[in-house]
Amino acid sequence: MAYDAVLDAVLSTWTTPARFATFAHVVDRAAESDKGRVPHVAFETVWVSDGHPFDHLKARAVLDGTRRSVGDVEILRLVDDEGPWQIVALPTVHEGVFHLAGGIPTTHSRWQKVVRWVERARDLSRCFLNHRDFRAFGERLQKFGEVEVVHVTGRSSFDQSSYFRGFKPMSGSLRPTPEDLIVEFEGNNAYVRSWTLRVGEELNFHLRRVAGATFYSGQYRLFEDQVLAPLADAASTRRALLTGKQRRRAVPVVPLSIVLAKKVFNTREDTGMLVDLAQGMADMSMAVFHRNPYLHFVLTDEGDGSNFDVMVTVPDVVNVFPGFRASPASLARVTGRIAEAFGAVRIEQAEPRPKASLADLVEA
Amino acid sequence: MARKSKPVFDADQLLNEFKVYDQAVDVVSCYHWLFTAVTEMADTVQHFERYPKVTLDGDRKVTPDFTVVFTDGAGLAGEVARLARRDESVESVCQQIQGYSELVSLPGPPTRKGGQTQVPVGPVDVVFLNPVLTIKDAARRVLTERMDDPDHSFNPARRPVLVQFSQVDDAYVYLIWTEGNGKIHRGDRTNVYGDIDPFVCRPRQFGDNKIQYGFMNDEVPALYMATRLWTRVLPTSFWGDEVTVPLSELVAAVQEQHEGYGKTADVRRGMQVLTAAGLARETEPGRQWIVTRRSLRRTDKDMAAAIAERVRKSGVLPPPVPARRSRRADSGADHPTLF
Repeated sequence: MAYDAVLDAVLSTWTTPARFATFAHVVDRAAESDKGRVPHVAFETVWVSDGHPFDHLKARAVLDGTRRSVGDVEILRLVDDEGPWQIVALPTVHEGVFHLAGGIPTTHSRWQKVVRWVERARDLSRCFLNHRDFRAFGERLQKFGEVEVVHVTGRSSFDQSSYFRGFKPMSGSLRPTPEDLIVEFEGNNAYVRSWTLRVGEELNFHLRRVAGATFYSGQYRLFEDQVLAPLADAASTRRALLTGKQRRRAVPVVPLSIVLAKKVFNTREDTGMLVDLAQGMADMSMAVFHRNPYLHFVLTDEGDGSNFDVMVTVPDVVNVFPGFRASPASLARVTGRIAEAFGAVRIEQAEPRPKASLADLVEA
Repeated sequence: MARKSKPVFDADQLLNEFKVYDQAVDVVSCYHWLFTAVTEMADTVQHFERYPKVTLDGDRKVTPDFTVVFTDGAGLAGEVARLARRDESVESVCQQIQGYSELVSLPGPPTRKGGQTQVPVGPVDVVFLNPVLTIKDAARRVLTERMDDPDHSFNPARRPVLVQFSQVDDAYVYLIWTEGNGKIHRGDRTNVYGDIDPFVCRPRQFGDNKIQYGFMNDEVPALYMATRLWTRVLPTSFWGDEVTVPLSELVAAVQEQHEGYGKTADVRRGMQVLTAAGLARETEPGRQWIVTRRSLRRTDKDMAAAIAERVRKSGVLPPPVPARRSRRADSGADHPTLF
């Protein structure tokens, strides 16, 4: 698929902070070069425990790859059969959180490669947004204009089937609001995975539940403030949640809870979907300790030895207990995959188990 | 002369022992929760011990599946078992119960230096847990045919309390046997076990204990230990494509990751299963191995099943449990519990 390489061309000239102070200035220059038409910019929000994202990204199927720094921004110049192209790593106000950006459509094979490299990078993590954070984008942008949903994709929490709806502009009426679509999808036991939002004449962008976004048109700085910054906030919160969670002797275990929107796991067949998901993780080994009626299995990350006990004891929560070796990146992969497969509302640290009373001993 | 057939490991038996033991871990975890997390009960408990080892007299040691020291000085010893048809199995169980009933001290809270005090107790109730399928048989053979026979040597100081357990949906249900059964000593306690009967315990209540402790006090079946080693202990403490694993360090790692529990014999047996599965190579007999990390996904996506299958295919029988064991009043060697 061909694409307009204006942004890439400007990026290739960004060699010193004196030339462009920020990435926003690069976008401005690209727009000036293209008769005022702002470029599309794709973003993947990622976090690392140590080092820089490019330290962990293994670019495959490219002829050459070179890194350069421009201030605190790093640019990775890649060369493939079609020529050179670039990925930018933009630091955020949060330690270890970055946006990977490029002037390539997310549907282009080059960007899809980037996504695959990110998925395969052992120590580079993505963030499946909590429902509240995802929902907040629509609410937050209302003060800048009417917020309409142009396209929306979703997935069933029960059978993982896909949903798609697109809305053409109609004179005299607006498209549905984000809230309309959330209600509709929830009514179908599905969750929203991505949507393209239009905010009056101010902004047009695509937002993905596995944190990332594409700027299509409008005010780039509004997009930075109202989309990229909250994505970084969410990734930073997730990074903090998953860091330092390995078990210690004589300290009560507290799981990370993946809270689902629906009561998905009601039968052995239902929990079988989670078993299938875990067994499909090629980088993990899995051992079932108890299969019925509740589910308990252990996952071992064959990349770094991290291990986790996973337990389902109620229909709408999957508990992941980090083992004595549990890297944040591995924990992010396990919790993120489960959350994405079943449409989690949120990932959180469970509250310490409250004391029970004699009344709890009786069959409910 | 007929060729001697190659010993074939019974993968089904390995997996069955795994499943039964895991259920026993659940049962102990339920009582762990009952006596430590249910406020009214926990208020009466000075110490719950998950892995008790108690000296009976002289050098005789007994190992109930759990013990409780109550605040009023009474004690409780719990045993999870299932009787086999052989009479020897009943005699063995009765010897255990007899031994527990004679206990005059039980493990107390840990000391600051990491040791464990022995707290004087009296009286001690013995709670004897059986699956619902064998409860009638247990009542007849233990209570009627032995306890009530004045000529039989089985004569514990207090009548044991027989409890049946079963699973209803996801809940474990514990029901105290009614006919000819013992009663829990009430002492000065407002609430005692059995006031709420049946007692229902769900995975969401006992699950944390199961994760944290991992084992119960009986001999750990070889495949259960092998699976724990392969999925948790080795990746945590001996990570690498090919690593040398001395037994003493492995036992220390198992204990570190299971709140102090991990018997050398059980760990060695787990390693023998991994060796039989071709995942480890013995470099010093029974004392050191080289473990080669590899994916087992082609054999089976469930690691426990994969290890069992690799053992079966290898046709190598792991060495039997050594016949000579340290002398114990309740030697588990011939005790016919399922666990």
